[in-house]
Amino acid sequence: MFLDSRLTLVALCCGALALPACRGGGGGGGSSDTETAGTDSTGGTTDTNPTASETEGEAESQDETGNDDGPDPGTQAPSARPRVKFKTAQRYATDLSNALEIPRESLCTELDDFDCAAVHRIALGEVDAFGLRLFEPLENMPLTAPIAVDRIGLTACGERAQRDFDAPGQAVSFSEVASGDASASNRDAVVERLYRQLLLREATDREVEQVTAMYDDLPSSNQAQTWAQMACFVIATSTEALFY
Amino acid sequence: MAGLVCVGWVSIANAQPQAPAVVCETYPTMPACAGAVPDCTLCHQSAGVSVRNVFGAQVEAAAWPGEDAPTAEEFVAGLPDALAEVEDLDADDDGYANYEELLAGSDPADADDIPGGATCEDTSNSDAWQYDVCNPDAGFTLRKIMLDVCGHSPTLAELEEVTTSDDPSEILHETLDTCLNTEFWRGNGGVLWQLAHKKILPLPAIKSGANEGGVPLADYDDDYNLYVHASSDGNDARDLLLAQYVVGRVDGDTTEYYVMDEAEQAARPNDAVLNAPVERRAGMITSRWFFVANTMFTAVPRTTAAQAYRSYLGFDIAKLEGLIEPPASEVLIDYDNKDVLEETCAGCHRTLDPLAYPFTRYNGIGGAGGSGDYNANRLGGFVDNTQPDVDETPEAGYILGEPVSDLVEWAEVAANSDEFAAALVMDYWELLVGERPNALETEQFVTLWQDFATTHAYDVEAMLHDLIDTEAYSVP
Repeated sequence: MFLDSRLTLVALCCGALALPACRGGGGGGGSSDTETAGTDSTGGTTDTNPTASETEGEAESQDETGNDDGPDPGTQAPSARPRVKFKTAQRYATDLSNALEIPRESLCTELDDFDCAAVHRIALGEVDAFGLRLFEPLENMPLTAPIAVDRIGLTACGERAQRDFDAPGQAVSFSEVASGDASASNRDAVVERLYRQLLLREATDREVEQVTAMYDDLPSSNQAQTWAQMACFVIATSTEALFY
Repeated sequence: MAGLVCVGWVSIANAQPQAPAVVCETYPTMPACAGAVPDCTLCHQSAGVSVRNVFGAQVEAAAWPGEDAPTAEEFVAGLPDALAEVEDLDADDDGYANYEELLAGSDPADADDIPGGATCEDTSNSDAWQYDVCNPDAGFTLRKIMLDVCGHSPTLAELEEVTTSDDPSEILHETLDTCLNTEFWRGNGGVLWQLAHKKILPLPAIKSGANEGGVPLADYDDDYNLYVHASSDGNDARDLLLAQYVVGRVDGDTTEYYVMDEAEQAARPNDAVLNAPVERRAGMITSRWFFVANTMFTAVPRTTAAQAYRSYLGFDIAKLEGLIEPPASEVLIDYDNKDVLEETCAGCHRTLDPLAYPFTRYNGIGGAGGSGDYNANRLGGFVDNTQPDVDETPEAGYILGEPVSDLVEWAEVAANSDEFAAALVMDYWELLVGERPNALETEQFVTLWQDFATTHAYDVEAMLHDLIDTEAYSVP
């Protein structure tokens, strides 16, 4: 699957780089705003603990090259007891399954046979008491955790896009663009639906604008379906989708 | 928690493992004393290292300036006064007196760690929607309940219902009740099973019964079943240590747990049956699996006692926690020639050995009557030239400073202790809140475990209903 550099950056900011923040469930000031701050992407750095000023309504965030790097994190007062927990493999997979209306067993499989969430359960915060005698989750999330998240999110979103584009009349997430018209207004409608399905809230205007605009950076071949998968993927691997 | 060795007062290795407990007796409301004891690093630069930090050095200078090292008795007797003497000082020079830091849960030896009052920003006049970080938030709490206990997020409709409801509390508690009956929470491999892993320490290679391993010795399914049974359906959680019955399980779309008739229990295959007679049973700590996995072939099974102490009272003796000794009149005797009287060993063994004596009459692997059976004369089989007096080890012992005649009495004292209630509630607090209570949450936590032992009559689910109402859980 093709990913341009911008999408990769957004995905890393939203998903991969956020994962270490789950350790310990709190203690550092201000981290709980990842719970509510939209598709949090705080620039091209590894800072996972944005300061209050970074989370309070900056119109637009930019990396050191001056490039726009994703949706504005929105407005949220910092918590006095900042704690977030990673959903863990089964919770994350179940949420994706419910949100995208894909049967749990069809969500993502490795080698067409093994459930991705089960295969990657240790990396994604679960235990294996009877196999590995691992009775508690790893204290620190391994480097493979973001890869596993991306694997599950990308596959699930690809499966939803494929189903919707194969049968637009029965589409669950992408009906507007699956029927052949990927206009900006139709993409807006899809993004708004994805936010409701995946994050259980309305998207902000800024978020809609940013995700919709990704379309223009994608290759023209199968552009609408690729955008649909990527739009879903960006939201489904955001910190807001991964932590609670 | 505490490090490996609390070396106490002098520069040589003169362990003072009582120190954390004395600190808690002096400052019982310290956050670090909520169901536990402070780390040795409260006074030392690191656990196991005799060098004191700036706070420890202040205490030492105030109490025994220039004097020789105090004896253990002098140390215990003098520590409260020493602590009091430096209360108003500021060891780390961060502007906060030592006692302020102790009571607030910050480190009196770390200038970067200061008491922090929770502050929240009033967002009631905000134009944009955002979580109210000053008050319980129904939507936030519903998400947490459903993810923690049901295993998935709520639907958008469910969120809208609770956030627009006149009585969101009713919805939240109904949701919790529903979730507590899901397979995700109580089913085979569910959350309750995961809580039990560290207590049971399963090893499939020696499992008997269903899915037996290559060398079937005992069936830990019994242990998981009892754990879930005692933790659900309004049952008394003290049965974790008091149950004299076996719990069976019927797998299916909905896992069912039931108290097994003794005839059914006894009719099970030889490698799975619980051999200990009914009157000698004490829940999880007399299961066949518990003895096979922990006692194995040991005469005086200290590991078994330590695992019981760690699992159900929250004290890890390996970390010098819970060192509550018998009265001084009770002399420690080295019945099995393990050199426990060595000064560096006795600090822990004065607690551990009497804690372990009541476990000595239960077989580990094999033995007369079979694995895990009670055998009053068991130690006779261990007598040889390496431990000629081991059969003189008494069955009576001590737990939490109280004398007990046998393991059933040991379990009764344990199950009715504050330590049991606090440890059990701490398991769920850490599971749901995500970490141990901080300084500002200590009072909530203490109230919760005290209510668990009184108002809730040891009903885990009733306690959880209160837990989700705490500020620690419900305020974003």
